Amino acid sequence: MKKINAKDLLNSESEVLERISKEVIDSDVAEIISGHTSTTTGHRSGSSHSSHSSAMREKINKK
Amino acid sequence: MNDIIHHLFIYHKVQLSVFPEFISFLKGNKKILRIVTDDNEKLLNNSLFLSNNIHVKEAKLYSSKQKNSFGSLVSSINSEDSENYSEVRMFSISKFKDELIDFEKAEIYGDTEKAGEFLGYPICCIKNIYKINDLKDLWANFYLNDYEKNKNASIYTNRFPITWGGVSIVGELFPCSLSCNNAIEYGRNLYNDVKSFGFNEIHKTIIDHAQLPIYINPNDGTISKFKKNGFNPILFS
Repeated sequence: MKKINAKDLLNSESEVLERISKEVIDSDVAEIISGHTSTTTGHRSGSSHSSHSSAMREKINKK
Repeated sequence: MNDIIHHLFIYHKVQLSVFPEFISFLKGNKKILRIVTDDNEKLLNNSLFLSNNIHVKEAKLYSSKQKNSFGSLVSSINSEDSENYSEVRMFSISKFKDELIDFEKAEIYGDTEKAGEFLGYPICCIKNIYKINDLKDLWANFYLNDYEKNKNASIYTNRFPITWGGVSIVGELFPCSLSCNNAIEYGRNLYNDVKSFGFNEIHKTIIDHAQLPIYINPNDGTISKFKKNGFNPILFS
């Protein structure tokens, strides 16, 4: 891996913060569907695959 | 590297809780990064990763649609199950191609312990994951019971921000206990890696998110960061 330039890396901070401020949810989690923001589950399936976590998207019910 | 962060977290909108894990990966303290996304439209820019000597592998999986941010991942589904599953993509990222192949194989073919080791998770937490899996959409009750028993929850084990779109200080790890010393060390290391690069605002945000109490309804396993009458919160300190 290339040597990391910390200054270059930090250029990304403001856009990540902007995304956090837009996506942090002021509502309760309800159920998973396609769309909206993502979350983590990571649970064993009953069949061929298991995982410690996974990212999914959720439906959000407004409080 | 800031172009990779942009590609993952802005273009692909990879969940924010992967951010501390990615930074720890860059720091060299996490050898494998695993990302699952249900956005099947956007392509991953492999050449961008390769130009930074980072290898990426992609696999198509399916995730069941269940409640409380729970979803089971499977590698194949029957046609009659298609309504109950969403197609997702798993990206595995490593500096070493061979490790990546072994990790993906472990993930896809269900070697949870091996996959957990590749992800750098504590052994006690890896061995405990089955208990949480078995609870399915009531998975949060595991932590409610743990908190009632131990009366202690470290901020470094708080993965609940994932459920409301925040940044989890402990990444995607499922701690075996909210007071597990190994999980605390894992979460603290991720946090310190974010801090060490100088992400001053993000690391403050991570702490803010980790300190929020969580309310869990044991009857249906729902999770909330809002006060719920009749339910005792899990307080992280």
